[in-house]
Amino acid sequence: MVLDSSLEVIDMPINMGPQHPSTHGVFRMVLVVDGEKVVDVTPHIGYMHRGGEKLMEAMDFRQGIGYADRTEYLAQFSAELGYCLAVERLMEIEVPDRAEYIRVILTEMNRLSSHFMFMGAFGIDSGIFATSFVYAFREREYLQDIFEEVSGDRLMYAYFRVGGLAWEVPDNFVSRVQEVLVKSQQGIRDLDDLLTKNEIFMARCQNVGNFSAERAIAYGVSGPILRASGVNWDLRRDEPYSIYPRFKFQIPVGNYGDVYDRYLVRLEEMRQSISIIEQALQQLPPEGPIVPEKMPRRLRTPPGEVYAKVESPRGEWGVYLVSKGGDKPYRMKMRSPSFCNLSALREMTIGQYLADAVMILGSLDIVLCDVDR
Amino acid sequence: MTPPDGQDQETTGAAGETPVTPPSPAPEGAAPAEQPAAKPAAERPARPVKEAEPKEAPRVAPQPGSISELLAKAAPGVEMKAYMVPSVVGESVAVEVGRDDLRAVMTAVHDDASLDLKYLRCLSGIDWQEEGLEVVYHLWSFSKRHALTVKTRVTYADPTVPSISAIYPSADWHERETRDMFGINFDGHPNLVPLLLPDDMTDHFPLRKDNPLQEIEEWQGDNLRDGAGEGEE
Amino acid sequence: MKDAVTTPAQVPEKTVEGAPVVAPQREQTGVEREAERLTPVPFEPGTALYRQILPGILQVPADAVLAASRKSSLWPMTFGLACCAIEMIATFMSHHDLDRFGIVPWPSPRQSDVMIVSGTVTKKMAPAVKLLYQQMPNPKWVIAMGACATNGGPYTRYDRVLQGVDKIIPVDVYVPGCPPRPEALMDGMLALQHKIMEERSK
Repeated sequence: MVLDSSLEVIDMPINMGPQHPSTHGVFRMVLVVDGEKVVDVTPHIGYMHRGGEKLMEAMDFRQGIGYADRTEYLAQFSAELGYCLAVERLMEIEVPDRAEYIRVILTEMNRLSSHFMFMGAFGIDSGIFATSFVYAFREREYLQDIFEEVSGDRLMYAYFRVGGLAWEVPDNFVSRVQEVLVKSQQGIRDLDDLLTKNEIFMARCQNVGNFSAERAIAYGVSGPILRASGVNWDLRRDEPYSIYPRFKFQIPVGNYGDVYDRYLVRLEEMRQSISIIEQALQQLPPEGPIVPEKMPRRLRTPPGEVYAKVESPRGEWGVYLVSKGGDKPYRMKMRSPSFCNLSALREMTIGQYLADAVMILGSLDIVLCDVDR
Repeated sequence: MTPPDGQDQETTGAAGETPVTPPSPAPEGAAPAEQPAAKPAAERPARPVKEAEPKEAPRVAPQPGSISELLAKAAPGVEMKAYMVPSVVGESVAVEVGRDDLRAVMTAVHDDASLDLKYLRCLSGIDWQEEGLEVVYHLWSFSKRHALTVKTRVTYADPTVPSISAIYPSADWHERETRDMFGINFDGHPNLVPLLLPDDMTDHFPLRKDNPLQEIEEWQGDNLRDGAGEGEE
Repeated sequence: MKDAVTTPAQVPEKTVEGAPVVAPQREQTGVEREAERLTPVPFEPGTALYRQILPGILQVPADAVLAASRKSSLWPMTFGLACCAIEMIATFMSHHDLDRFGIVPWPSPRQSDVMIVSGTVTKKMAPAVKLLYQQMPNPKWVIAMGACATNGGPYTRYDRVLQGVDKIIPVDVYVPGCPPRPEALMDGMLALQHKIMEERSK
């Protein structure tokens, strides 16, 4: 006979260890659950801390672009753009128009490919075993093909340079981009049909991980998560950089701040990106230089500091560059959006069910190399 | 070879260094070791005054009516130095405060209605070698659309800065990371455990300038299994 | 149940030399603990059961049959660490299909044959890598994908990065690139298949 007083009820710690099947990289969460409800979450990061910031202090302003790529490996052009904007601001270089337009086109196409990856990985988190992933990677392959034609590499482009671009795009660039846009639109429609009105998907996503706007601002959250929580804020429109003021686009804003809103915000952002690319293709000057004429050979910045930020698919990717003169940065701090978004994970997950914790982590769309730099 | 145009720089860049050497704490104050290709002084245009001191950017005081005056009103009695720093479009105001006033300043910028800087964008540490360690806070206000940069400096002997994670929850992780990288102790932080480094390897701080990069091991043959690496393809 | 609890002294010492230590003592310095967590796992192929049972003359065709079947159905453990993981996933997906070689990505180490280490291995992650390698049953192989897993890659100068995963686990195939193209990873898998057939008598 078992006496009730000899039994003890404890909350159980569950370790989602550094290797787990969802493809978010090496991230470890220790969840303390009471039955099925999560009581506490302790995220452990740092398994991918590779010292990008320290190594960039030893690289000059052209070598650093490769490190910026590898830090944010799904939105590489946003990272390169942020880095180049910071250095160009310090050196007071003006980028020619054609280079700016091509930069915007490539950055928005990179936003498409990053959001496709999100759709794929998020579908896996919600239970579709690999269908959404296969669809997403089919679309990504078309985008990676054109990135390869332009820059030479499938994943780590290193195509933007301080002052413009590395080399001229191929002759059929405009027609290729239009082909790829048609395919991407079809891909968005496919994923939309697969996921958005899917009952199981809706039941798993709605009212999960609600996050209010005040808490989101307090935690430094940015990007689609901030917009899904109701804050109408996009760096491309509100603190514009590059030539974004010349384009008309809308910003999707969510109502409830739950996981379903984040998915819808990203889906709509993809459509708006396609619209930006189409406007840029119309306005693209057919000929022109891609670096300014008076480009110095050695990239030396005057002493000073600057904080440059771009709207990457994950949020606000910032570069705080402190220079003491010379051709290497003195301190190069990368403000990564995934780091700040992940710090809000604890508050979002406490009180939810265990299965929802995976959905919330998936909806944050983190890139671990960015979190750990 | 003409010297770089428009960049009249006499700064001692790493002119002769290859990127492989670790970032040695070489003082930049010495006279430039090599001059660019000789050109008589008469041919060059007149140089601006800031060339005489290439080490620091010139500090321009902010315009009257800018955010630093609002800050002075909101946090009276705090001594601060305000100047302009560039941002991608235009410029913004940076303010240097002392370490002990930091919490008062942060509470003021968060709660005061005219400042309303509720968004902590970025918290970074910088290692100025002789001049100490610095912590830089970038703040933003969504309602008022203005930015502010707050800086505070501490010495190596006493690297303690009051923690602002009670005011800005986003500072929680940023402060843990800065402590890992620089060794700055944040006083009052609820959970200052290592974030990015392994728990038992926080003896030395990676982003300090006196911490060198590790050497590349030239020969990897000891790690290869038997027979590997011997055939020449 | 209380009587069944054994004191630690009675439990036989089953740890292998070089196994990761679970609880580091407090008196050690950071450098010593680092050395402990980075000791390599030795390569222990073990002896297959069929070798012990079959007479010698049947072992040669048995080796060939088993090696052919093992190489045709390699199940890699999805161990995507960093950027190379994206290219590894792209190789599994429909454009460059790896399923046609019988290669099915499998999340659990207990049922997988190959570990594709794709990405930088930091010193914080090293004990986990060793543990996962030890959890895989024999026969097992390791592919080091990318420059970071081969020798540290672009991050090799940082002192928290392990200069190559072969410092802690034995590696069979190195695939260079940053990141390697999917075709290069396929070439690496095919090279591993060739190696399995070549080494079938070991």
